[in-house]
Amino acid sequence: MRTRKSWAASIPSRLHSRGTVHLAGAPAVAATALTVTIGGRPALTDVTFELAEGRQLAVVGPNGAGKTTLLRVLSGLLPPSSGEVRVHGHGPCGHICIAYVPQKSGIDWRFPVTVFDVVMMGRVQRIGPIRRPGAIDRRVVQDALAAVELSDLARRRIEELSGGQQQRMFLARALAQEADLILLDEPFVGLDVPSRSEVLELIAAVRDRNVTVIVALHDLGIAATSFDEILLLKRRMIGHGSPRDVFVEANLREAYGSCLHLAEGESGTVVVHDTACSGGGR
Amino acid sequence: MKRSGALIFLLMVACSWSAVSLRIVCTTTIVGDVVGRIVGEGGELKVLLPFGADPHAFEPTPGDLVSIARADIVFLNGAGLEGGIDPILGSAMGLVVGLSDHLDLLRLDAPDEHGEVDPHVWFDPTYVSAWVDRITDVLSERDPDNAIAYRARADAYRAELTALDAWIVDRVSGLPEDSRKLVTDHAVFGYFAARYGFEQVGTVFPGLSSLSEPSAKDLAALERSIVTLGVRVLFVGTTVNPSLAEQVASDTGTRIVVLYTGSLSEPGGPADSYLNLMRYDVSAMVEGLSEAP
Amino acid sequence: MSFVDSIVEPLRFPFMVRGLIAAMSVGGLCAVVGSFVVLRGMAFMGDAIAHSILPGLAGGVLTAGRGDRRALFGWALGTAVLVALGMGWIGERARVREDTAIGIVFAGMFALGIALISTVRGFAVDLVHFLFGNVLGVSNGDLVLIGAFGGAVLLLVLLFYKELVVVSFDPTLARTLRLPATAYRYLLFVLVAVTVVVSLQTVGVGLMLAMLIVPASTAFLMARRLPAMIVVGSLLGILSGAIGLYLSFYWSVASGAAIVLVTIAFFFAALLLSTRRQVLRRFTNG
Repeated sequence: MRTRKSWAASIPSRLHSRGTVHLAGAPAVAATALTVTIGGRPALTDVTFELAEGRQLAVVGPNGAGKTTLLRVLSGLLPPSSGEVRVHGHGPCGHICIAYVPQKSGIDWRFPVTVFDVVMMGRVQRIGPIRRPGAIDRRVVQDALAAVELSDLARRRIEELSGGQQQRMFLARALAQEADLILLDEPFVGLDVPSRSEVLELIAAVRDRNVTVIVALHDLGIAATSFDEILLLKRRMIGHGSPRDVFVEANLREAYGSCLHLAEGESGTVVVHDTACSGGGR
Repeated sequence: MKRSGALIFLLMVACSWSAVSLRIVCTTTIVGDVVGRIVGEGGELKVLLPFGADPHAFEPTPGDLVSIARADIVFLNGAGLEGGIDPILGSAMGLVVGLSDHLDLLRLDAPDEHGEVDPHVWFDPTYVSAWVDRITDVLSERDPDNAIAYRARADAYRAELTALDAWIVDRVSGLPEDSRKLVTDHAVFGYFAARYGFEQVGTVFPGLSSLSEPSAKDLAALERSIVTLGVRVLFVGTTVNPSLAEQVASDTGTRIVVLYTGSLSEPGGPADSYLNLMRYDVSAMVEGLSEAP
Repeated sequence: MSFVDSIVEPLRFPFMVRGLIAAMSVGGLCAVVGSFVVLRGMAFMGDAIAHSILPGLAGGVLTAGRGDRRALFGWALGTAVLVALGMGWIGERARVREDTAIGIVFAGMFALGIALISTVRGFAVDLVHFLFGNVLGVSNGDLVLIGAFGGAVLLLVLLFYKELVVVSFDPTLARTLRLPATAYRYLLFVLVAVTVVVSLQTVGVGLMLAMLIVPASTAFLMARRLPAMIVVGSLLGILSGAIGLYLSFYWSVASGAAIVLVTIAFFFAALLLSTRRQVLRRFTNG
């Protein structure tokens, strides 16, 4: 994996002139007293946290905890009702370096486009209107595909992709977009264990590019094992820190009721769902 | 003396008292005009089609349905002209009269048609005279108190129709045999051609209705005939989309002359009564056809 | 008659030459715009716009009279653009599906048109048919209109192709990329509206509807990628126009119907071939 420095050096600087300039020294993400009300109901209340550049954060919580809402606010798709959100020192709406992969993509998979085409779509704003994709853009897309190991599927139509391949394609699109912040909402849903590992590996590999990643997921096991920073939500912030610090009995009970237990595994703390239990959730 | 005077006075009062207001509905403006001439001032006459509307494409509105239901008598041209009206005739509570229905109708002699009849009978005044007979009979039966008045008006109008017929014969007498060729947008002049010695040599829209669509082959054949027969004028009606006819005319170097075929003009216009329509059309026809090449 | 002769013979008639140019241009243009229509599931937008221009025609008739067809075309075009923007706006605001927004505007505008024309009632449907053209009756002026507006539509699709694709395929991506997605959506709707009005004014409503949907759908079955789909669709549209007109010339079939039937024939041929290919693939993959 090339480091971000050499990667960036290979792209002419004019392509960086679009979008809000990052504020030097500012954290990648900073939320202050963030409150979001949807349809009269509070989806998020008074969330405050900071995330440094290049970190990988897992946002966890029961259903309806506000994970998707948080990602949508960070992506600039949803304005906060009160409080503040800053990405690299400025509000999200000016940035074009934020990539958001929603849970249900709402894409028509029968659209006649290939994997290459979809990844190239990430560059549309960089290319600008009227201009056609150039050699540089094609190289960026090819590199992105290589990074997620989809190069040999580049010419494949998207309706032929498996779930894991779809997620990798969206990741490649985020890389092609030259995103500095990647937001993934439940990327592991419907994936079998090998595909899940693949995607996790790729997310980890992205670390080399100094890209900040936030993943919303409900599987606490994956969160605890593969991420070293956790944000536990239940419409308000319950905990933020390392898995060991966040996944304590008190927090888990507050978020999920009494159905979760801690266990020590080989690779560290593991959280065990008691699936026979009721409670947790909304 | 005084008694006869009083009798006359009583008769007049009786007549005005018995002026039953018949509710009459007519479909086309032409039918409306002829019926109106017989009915006179007494009846309540309503014409469904507005000026300039195509009778072949007539689609009744709910308001029309109400008018037809309430009418004492509904007068149609008949013979299939008002194709769209058949579904709603069932709601008529009064008498429905297709004026052309029992007349001697021309058939379209194209091999693939199954004996379709030509409904454009009004271009022969003798047919309109037959209309007048029918109208008078129907009105007199329905409103016997005014029968005398109806017959008187019918007689007067028939005289005017006879005069029109004579006038037309005279007007067209000047046209030589080989000039009497009519190219029109659709086949309206069958009866006119039969009575006055003309020939319908081509139409833009095939068949008798303006609703049919010509194929490229039809148009090519039309243009060939126009050139072969040396036709100089194309007659189009006011009720049909003229774009096809305009293109044929400009391609073959013929002139377009607009005639009133399916509808009267607005009141005050050149064809605001049946008699005026015929006079205007025949004059325009003769003028157009006698242009020096 | 030799093959070459049979191609050349109809061209001796100016109405055939004009008709061929019109049918082929409209076929190509409609397929390009129609690709987006088909992929976005807006198939009945063509019919909706054709009916929604009725109030505009009413306005035109009440001010300019029936005779001035150029004025009526202007009214129709203006109304169609407004209608397209209305459909786009409702889709944004009301968060209803695209086809619902289209249907609402269609129903409302058509009723408004009938109401406006109720003073000259009996005219309403007549008027609609009065404006709708016939491919055999196109004038040189009509060809200029097709060229000018069709050219403008094609140019805009070319310039903003990738943006229109992103907005159609993944609206969420469009928003995260900070594309003016709403503007591009309105642009697409307006392009469809202009295409529809120019086509139905010249070649009539039945033909316009078919040209908008069928060649693009056929190309969808045949092409892997969108650019290929658009190109193949245009070629099919152009070819259908030409073949249909020649059929009308030699076999005396109504021209509009002939062209539409050719597009349908191409569609079923493609359908058969693509089913065959799928069955074949299943056999070879074991």
